[in-house]
Amino acid sequence: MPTMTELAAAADSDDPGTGLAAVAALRRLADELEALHVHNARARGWSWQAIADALGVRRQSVHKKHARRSVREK
Amino acid sequence: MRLDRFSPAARRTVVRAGVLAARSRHTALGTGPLLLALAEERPLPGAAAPAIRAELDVPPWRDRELLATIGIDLDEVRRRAVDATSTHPDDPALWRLERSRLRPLRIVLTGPATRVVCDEGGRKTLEVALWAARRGGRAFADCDDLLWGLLADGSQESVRVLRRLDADLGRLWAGLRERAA
Repeated sequence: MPTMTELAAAADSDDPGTGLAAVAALRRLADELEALHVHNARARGWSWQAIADALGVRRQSVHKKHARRSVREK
Repeated sequence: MRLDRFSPAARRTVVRAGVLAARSRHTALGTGPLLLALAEERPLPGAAAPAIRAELDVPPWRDRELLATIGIDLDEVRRRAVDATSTHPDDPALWRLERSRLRPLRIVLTGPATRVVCDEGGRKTLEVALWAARRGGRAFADCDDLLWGLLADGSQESVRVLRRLDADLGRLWAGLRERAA
């Protein structure tokens, strides 16, 4: 597997297309991390309000996005 | 339509297919990614996963490389997240498969950073898999049931790929019929 430095050098960061695609990849990574940490917080008994406060969003938003998934875990 | 109606291996297959479809920037989950995911989960006589991947012309996944350009080491971030939460992004517990209440032909697979709608072939595959499980008296649809779904319609990409690879469709069918008998 190539190192991170080799990966960075392989891409032309001056290219707006690369920069925009990197932002999109960052959004996907952030969504992935959010799902993992919300799942973990629910497993530890956190309320939806506490999770929403930690994420800086409304309770309804986080509930709509993650609730049904968490219900199925039980 | 729920993911918990599938066996653990079949669940992993459906989730993996969703990941493959999303990584290919496909908005729909069809029989191609399902076939590739199934071949990765269990051997398919005459159709190895790398050969199917080449036939499907799956584009390379670039997120690791793109994130490196802005100083993020994807593998390290993921490793830390998995360590902290004891959960992997591909864990089926984080995924759901649902049929729309208002549009019953619409089945959506959602998971971390992924949302794909089943196309006609993908929907038929999942429905046939569940039908085959019921017919066989099994509580959960397994990988063989998914294979039944992938072979059920000769016009779908899964069958076209298997034909191009010269996989022995008769042998695959015979295995399924033998099990059903």
